[in-house]
Amino acid sequence: MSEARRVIRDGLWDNNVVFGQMLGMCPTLATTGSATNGLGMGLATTVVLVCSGVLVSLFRNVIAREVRIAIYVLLMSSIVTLVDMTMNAWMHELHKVLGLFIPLIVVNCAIMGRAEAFASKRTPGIAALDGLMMGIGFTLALMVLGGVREAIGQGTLFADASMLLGERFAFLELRLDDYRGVLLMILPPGGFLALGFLVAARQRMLARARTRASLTNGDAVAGA
Amino acid sequence: MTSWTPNRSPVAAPHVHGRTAIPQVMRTVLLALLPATATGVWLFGWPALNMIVLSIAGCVAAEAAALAIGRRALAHTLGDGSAVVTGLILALCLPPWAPWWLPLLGGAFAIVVGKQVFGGLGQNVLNPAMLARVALLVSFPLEMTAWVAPQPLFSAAAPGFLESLAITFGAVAAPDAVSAATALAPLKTGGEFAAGPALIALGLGTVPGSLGETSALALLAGGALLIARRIVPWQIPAALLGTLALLAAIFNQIDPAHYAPPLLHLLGGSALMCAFFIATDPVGAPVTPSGRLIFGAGIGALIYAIRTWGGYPEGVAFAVLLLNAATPLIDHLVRPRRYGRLRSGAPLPVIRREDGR
Amino acid sequence: MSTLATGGLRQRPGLLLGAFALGCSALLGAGDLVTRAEIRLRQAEDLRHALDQTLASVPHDNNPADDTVAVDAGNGKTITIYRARQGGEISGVAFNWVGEAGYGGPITLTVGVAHDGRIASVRVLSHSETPGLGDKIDVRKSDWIRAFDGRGLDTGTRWAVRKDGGDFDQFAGATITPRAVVGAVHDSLRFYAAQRERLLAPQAPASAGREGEPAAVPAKGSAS
Repeated sequence: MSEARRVIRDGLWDNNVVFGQMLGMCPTLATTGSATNGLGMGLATTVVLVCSGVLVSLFRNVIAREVRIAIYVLLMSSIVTLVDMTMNAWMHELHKVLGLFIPLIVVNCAIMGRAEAFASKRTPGIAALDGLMMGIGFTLALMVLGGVREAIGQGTLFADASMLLGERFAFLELRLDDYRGVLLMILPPGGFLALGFLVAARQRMLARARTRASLTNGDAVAGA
Repeated sequence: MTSWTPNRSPVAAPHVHGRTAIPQVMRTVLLALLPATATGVWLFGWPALNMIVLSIAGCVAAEAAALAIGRRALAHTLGDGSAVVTGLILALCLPPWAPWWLPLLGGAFAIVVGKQVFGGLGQNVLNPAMLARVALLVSFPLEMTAWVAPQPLFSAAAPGFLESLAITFGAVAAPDAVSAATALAPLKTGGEFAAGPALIALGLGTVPGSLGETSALALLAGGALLIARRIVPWQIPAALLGTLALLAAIFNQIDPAHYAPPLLHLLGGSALMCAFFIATDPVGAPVTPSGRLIFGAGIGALIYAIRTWGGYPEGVAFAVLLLNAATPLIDHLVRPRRYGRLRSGAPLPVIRREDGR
Repeated sequence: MSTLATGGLRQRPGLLLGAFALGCSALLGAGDLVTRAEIRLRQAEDLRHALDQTLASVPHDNNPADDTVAVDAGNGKTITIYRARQGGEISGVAFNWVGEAGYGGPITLTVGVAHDGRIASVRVLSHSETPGLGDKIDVRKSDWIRAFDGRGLDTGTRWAVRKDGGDFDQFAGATITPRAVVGAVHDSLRFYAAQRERLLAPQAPASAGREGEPAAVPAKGSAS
């Protein structure tokens, strides 16, 4: 149980793919022009992460060390291609927006990283959980980044969410009417700026938590 | 900042202390900017003054806020005047009748993203004012290219002080009647290049353009002061303007109808402002004379390329930022020989005297 | 037995890699089979949608996406013409037109022309104009492009932007982009006028034999 908790904490916060490990920067920066795009890219990556985790873990006793990287690449590119075809067929509008980036999931280091560092050593169940949590952490990070850029850049939040999630989620779409928008944030430099400030904010939170922890420890020692 | 020696190569110790402190340098720069600032305010009226005040206020407030967040003493860099200089340079680069939020936002961006994020004065890789100018130009292309024709203070057409508040703070954009094209516009939209008397207007500054960049004479006066006081090395302006003029002359010779003459490139737009006040910012420029020549020539060539073939009408800000980024490389390429060493870093070869001693 | 087989495979990395490649290929083949029809349907829908937008004001009862003819544009390029028919008679055509360079490069338009030579509507297919300034030619950003609707060579329209003494507004801060679009639309109309006879010929000159449909249509038209 505690191991599962550890995996969940790792994926969502402590070892978050974007903010902790700083992996997968290409999709992170390229697809976060809006919260909806970030969400879509994150979900697609999550599917790939879970599938590759399970498959790698299932075959971990079969795969010989010498060819393991080649086999991982083979598995991942197959999964990504399947996701690509599926989205093209049944989520066509989103595929038109993200289409260029979906094949790039193959080169998202986070997937290879989890396969090598986690899935190849663990049982399928926990590997699936790890893939899911890493994927959700990645999705949340992309959504926050996309949300910040979209809000500052054009004064909307989750614009076109109904396109991704269906009409029932149209209530998510927010819009500030008299806001001109800072175009820079939607353009590529805005991705770097927003990511930098978000990472800085996270570091500040961590630093503050550390000081607090050391302070309370100090108190405990002093009290004893 | 400490290793910065204006007109000489860095040399080995011992050094003499130059008694030049940062606040003093900043005061001289402000003094040198005074002619251009005064001309700009006179030409474009009260709205221009509003904008200068707002831009400086934005920079100083952002500097104070950044220092407070970083828990550093406010006196640390707030008192040295560097934020004021950044604010003034930024204001002089903007359209004179810009709405109030443009200089405020630009000032804050210049200080926070351009300077404090890197660790404050002397640590910034890129020129803060130019970074803000590019950010504003990319984000608000409409406001950043809304030029007005000069309407000198106290002339009949000039807006009064109350009117100027409406222009700066009002939601209404400047009326079409006063909007105008800059001297560089024919480079992109086609049409006649300025020549003859129009070039004299460019020299005096009585043309549409950025607040403080229209008057070549005022900028030259300030630049002369900076070079005479040895605040800026002469190599950067010389190489920058020389390269720009040379390229313009070559292409103008090839096809005069298509490529603007060198004088238009030098006098129109931001080239002079850039050559004396922006590219010479010691923080982002190389430290050796030869490095500065390369740096200036690079900016001049890029300005010409962007103006002639690029997507934006003026390339000064982009050129400065790109060469700022290349500065460590330039410094590495032309680093001076260490005393007692070869250029490669190996010790000097020992030469045996023939007389056997 | 299975342990023996896996153990054997572990000893032979080449064989293992081959087995995985085979498995992945089978997976991809199956995926392709499942999604192929759906994807083709979606792409046809995309084209149909784009054509419907440009030919919305032209009454038609056929699917213009299926009724095409290739016309030589004169400069070595061929242009695919999509034809809308009402009761077999051609009521309008739509085609893609690559215009002269705008501020940031060529602008590709989809032009719909009604039977009488008037513009049905124009849409921008792709452009690389300055965001925030020149991109108002996109119908999602501004209604400017609708100013062409209903205009033709014979409507007394001055085909230039106002600054050049024409009938079309330029945008605040951008003249080159609208000037390029106005010029391109004008060119496309002249192309239509020059090719009118060939475009409107009931017998499609190039593809009549291939389709079969046009041959049957005139008969239907004359009957009604």
